[in-house]
Amino acid sequence: MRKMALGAVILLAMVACNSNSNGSVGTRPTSTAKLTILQPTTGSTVDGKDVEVKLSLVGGTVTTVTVSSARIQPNIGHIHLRLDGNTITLLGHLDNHIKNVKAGQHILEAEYVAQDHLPWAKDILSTVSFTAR
Amino acid sequence: MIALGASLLAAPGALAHANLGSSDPAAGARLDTPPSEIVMHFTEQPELSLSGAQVLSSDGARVDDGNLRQEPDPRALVIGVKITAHGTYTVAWHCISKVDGHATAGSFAFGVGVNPSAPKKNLPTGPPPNPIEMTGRFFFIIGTVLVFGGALVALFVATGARRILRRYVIAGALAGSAGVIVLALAEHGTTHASWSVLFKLTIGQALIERVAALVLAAVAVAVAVRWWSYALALLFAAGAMFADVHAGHADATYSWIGGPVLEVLVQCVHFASAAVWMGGLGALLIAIRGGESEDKASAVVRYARFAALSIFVVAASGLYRAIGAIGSWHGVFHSGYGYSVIAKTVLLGLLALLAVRQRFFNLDKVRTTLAGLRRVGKAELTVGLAIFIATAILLGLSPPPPVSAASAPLVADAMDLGHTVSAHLVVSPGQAGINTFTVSLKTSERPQTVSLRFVYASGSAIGPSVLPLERRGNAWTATAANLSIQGLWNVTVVTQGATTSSEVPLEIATHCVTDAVPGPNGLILYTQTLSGGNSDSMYLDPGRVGHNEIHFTFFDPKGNELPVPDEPTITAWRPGTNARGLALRRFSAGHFIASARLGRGKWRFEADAVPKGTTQPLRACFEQTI
Repeated sequence: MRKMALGAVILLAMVACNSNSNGSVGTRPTSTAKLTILQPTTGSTVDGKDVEVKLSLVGGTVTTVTVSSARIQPNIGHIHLRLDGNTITLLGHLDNHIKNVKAGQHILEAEYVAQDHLPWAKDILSTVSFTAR
Repeated sequence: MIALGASLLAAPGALAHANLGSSDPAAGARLDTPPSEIVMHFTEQPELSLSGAQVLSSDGARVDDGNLRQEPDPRALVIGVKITAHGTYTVAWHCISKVDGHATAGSFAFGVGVNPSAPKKNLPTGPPPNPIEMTGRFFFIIGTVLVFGGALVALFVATGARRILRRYVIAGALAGSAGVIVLALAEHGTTHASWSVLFKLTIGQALIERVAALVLAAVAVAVAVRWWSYALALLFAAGAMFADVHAGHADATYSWIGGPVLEVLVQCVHFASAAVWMGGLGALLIAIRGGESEDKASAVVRYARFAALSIFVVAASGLYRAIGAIGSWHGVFHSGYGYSVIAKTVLLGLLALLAVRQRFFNLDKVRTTLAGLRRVGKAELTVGLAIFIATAILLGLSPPPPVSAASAPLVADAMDLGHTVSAHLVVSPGQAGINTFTVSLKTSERPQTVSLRFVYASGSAIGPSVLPLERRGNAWTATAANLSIQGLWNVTVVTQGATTSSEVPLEIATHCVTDAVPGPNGLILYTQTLSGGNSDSMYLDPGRVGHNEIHFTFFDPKGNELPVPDEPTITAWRPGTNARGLALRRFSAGHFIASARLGRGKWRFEADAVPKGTTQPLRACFEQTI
């Protein structure tokens, strides 16, 4: 019984402490969305003339509207696509095409960011490496 | 190290107290056209109904509209102004933090059509430590610790002593409640708010929550001496702790997982662990009064297990909170806050030694004698009491402000072409506006006159100017507004001796005044208030040696993306090198990215952009060390 009481105290304290999860003003918010690059897959070889990029975003929506940090909302944001560290687009969609990729190995990153184009407190990033021919 | 970490018990965050972080117009700024409003950005959310601001002309007349508002950023206070004449204007503000109810106040000046003649420094001035508040906080902490520790001992350590411990828990609850009442008196005095208004505010509600939790704990134990009544008391004490932490600086402190959740959780655990250690020890000493017995010896052994764990947790959580609270060793040794931390460090070290003595000298003897344990235990409680006093003082003080790049003076060194004169220039505070320039020279011939020649290197917005310096001992100095606008400046030290003259060329850049928050993977995300209520956000990705991308996004006063039809100019500069323009790409109407390979050093990135429909450029910048 005493162990149950102790468990209840710990649980209550954790629930109480976690109830305050709505980020304080002035800090970067977090997003619970999950972003995955479905295509190209890691290790795949694709035609460099037109690399088709397919993404999956769960728990978030994509918008083209940009607003300042004071007005951003959780789980609404943009998709940034980077190829070998260079940004390709800041307003990516779930289906994208990258034209004229040089032959060779490449790293593709897709990041889900807030509407102010700044990353969330914890980055939501998916990375694949592929070869263009 | 453990002692140091533990000593920072309940240390508030570095942003503790609502201090003024930046403003538009900036302190010391010279404006060509009058602003329509003054925007002040604070480090914590102000309580609007208890904060105020006045804007006064140099003859003391009010030029504000008296309508202080809080939009769009809840951490910003905005007041409208109607300025019709050139002159120096002073903004006097006072503010109550919505987070903890602490008061701050300050003033700054800016000029319209003239350089501000009043001191430009933005000097937030919190009130001196309030002894009433500290007293209240001390009794609240002590009372809550007694309730939590006493209930825990009655539940898990000395179940046979529940009747004896009832008074202990009730006394704790009453002391804690009295402390909250004293805290309420202090808040009432600080905020000058009526009681009805105070209790509608966040800080007032937190007071009610704390006292309610402690009273309920007392009632639970007064009603019955059963395990469940102590379990309830434990729960209510935990609730009082949470209410206190939730209303404290931990709730306004950013953590690496985002938001204040982790900080609040760590602080809750920290408070509870300290209560187990100290509150539990006091209860144990009461529970084992009288002659030795097997039950008492077993109780001591059980408590020792709780104590060992709580000491470790107090140290670990204290260390974690300390990292965010102090930020620099300078702050430890140059502030009242730092001195309190040092005092706690010393006391915690002493307490740790006593705990070690208990564990290794007295614990094995408890079945034959409790005398040694009682003696050292009382000493532990005495030291613990002193630590809680230091904690109460600490919580009433503002931590030292972080040493930011924007507050550090600019420093530049160079020699003339003939290598006959060496100049060391210090510019304080180093922001656009009024600065104090101090030049130290090494030369074979003592100069008769020394002056500075200023040429703006970030554009052709203004012409060159000259500032004669006055001799002060071995240095030459003057205070003036020659660095009138933000950007890169070529400053030449001109010396004139009896037979020779020399020129020492220097290059300096005014500090960028930005708000910065940490992003993922070491990124630093900057926002900046620009003229006309516009703003921008900026960051350097990845911020390491090698290839980097520099992002600039511009926003209008409503927070919408601000279109910039013509591509802005983006430059990167590192002291000792020439500023270089960067190739940039447009990604949307107001978002631009420049790419650059960067080496180690302190970099300054600047963007000049002309928004749609205006001819007035916006100048955005940030500084980052790689």
